[in-house]
Amino acid sequence: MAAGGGGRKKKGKKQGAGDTRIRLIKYFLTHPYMHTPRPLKFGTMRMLRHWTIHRAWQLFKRNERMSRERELERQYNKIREACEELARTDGRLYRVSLSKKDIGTFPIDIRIPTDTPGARGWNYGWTRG
Amino acid sequence: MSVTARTTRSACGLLRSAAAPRPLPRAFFSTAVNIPIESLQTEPVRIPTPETRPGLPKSSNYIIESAAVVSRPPYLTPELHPFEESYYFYQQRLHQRLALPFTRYFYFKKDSTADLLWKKKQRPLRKAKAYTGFGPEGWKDELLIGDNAQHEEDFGYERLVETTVTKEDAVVEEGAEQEAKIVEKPLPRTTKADEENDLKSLDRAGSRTLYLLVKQNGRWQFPTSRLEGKENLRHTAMRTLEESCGMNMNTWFVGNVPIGHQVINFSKPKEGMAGAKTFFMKARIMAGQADLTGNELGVTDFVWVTKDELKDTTVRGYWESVRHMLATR
Repeated sequence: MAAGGGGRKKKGKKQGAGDTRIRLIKYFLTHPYMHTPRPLKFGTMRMLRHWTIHRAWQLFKRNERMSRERELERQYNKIREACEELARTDGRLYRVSLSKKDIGTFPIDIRIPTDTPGARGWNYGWTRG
Repeated sequence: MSVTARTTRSACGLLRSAAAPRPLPRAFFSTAVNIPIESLQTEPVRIPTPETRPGLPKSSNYIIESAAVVSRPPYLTPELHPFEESYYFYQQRLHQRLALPFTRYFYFKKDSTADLLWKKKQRPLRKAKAYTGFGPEGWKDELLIGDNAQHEEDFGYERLVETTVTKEDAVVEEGAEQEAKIVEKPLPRTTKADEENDLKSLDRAGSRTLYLLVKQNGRWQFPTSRLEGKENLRHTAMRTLEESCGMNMNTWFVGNVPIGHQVINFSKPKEGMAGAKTFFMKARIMAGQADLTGNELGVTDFVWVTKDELKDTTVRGYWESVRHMLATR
């Protein structure tokens, strides 16, 4: 198997000739048959277990999603009720609270959740100005 | 899409908008939180005022208050449910069965330093007969009863340091101390404040939201005060926080819209007032700590609590009016 291709092979040259690096890449990227994993073949009971696990996972995710949606719905309803109460109480406050003035932008110093806490911990020494 | 389908749908929309107001579709709640209130209604909102409905008390008869709901967002990812942990492990094993093996001599030249190091690092795996996904034992990918391999307290740190060769390792060979410096060990998820249950600490309960409660007028509540002059709700909440807990807190008030409210009707009118209406304004804390010295609102104590602890700390009526506006996590 000559690397580079194109030209006709010289008679005396052996098959392994050419750039060694390319030859190695070709060899290792086409894995030998014995190293190539076989496709998953499940027996009846194993397939049943796999199916059960899959269904349980779907159910778990569904419950999680539903409870999250319900929670958002409750929070949304609280906001709406508060706004209606505010409108009944004071028209000026209601108008101001619905306006998007002076809201500002999302702060960049909010931490993104990580798997383990940082070494420095909470910054208690922060002072204004 | 066919023309008929489109026409039918638009006709349905017309019919619906003509009918009585219907409950909002569920889709709103999962995505559109920022949509202003009016646009969500099918009909224009007609707000009852004292003029249109005489039964309602006049606005001046109620004390209007604003409360700052300051929360520290979780800084840790949520705890994995045992089922989630097992499921991920199961998927990982299946993936191992389907992946190509590591081609050692493609990455390491034979008998080079890196190659020898890799060989050395693989030894504990071979000794422990760790699962590889290959060979005659490859089909045994499921855990047996009592095998708890899916749960690793240190996020697999020890295992990875023992068995994985990194670029830095290959360069720095001598000395375990140096290696330990390169791959830093992650800190445990429970901190000192968790063990001591220090309610004033912000390093506690990392995977939960913490809410700031103060002891005001002898009971636990969010920092509250009356509106003054031409202030709006958010300005009052900001002022309240500053007057009660000091100014050394880096906070961000999420918007002008209140996230909840509480109405208290007095049994007897006090100073000509029929009751008090409190509106809660949401805020996030990013740095700093509450400081009660010299506060002007008569606050005697403060705590940072999760939603569950908030239930036990506050009185029942207060809890009932705030519980649905707070996030569970």
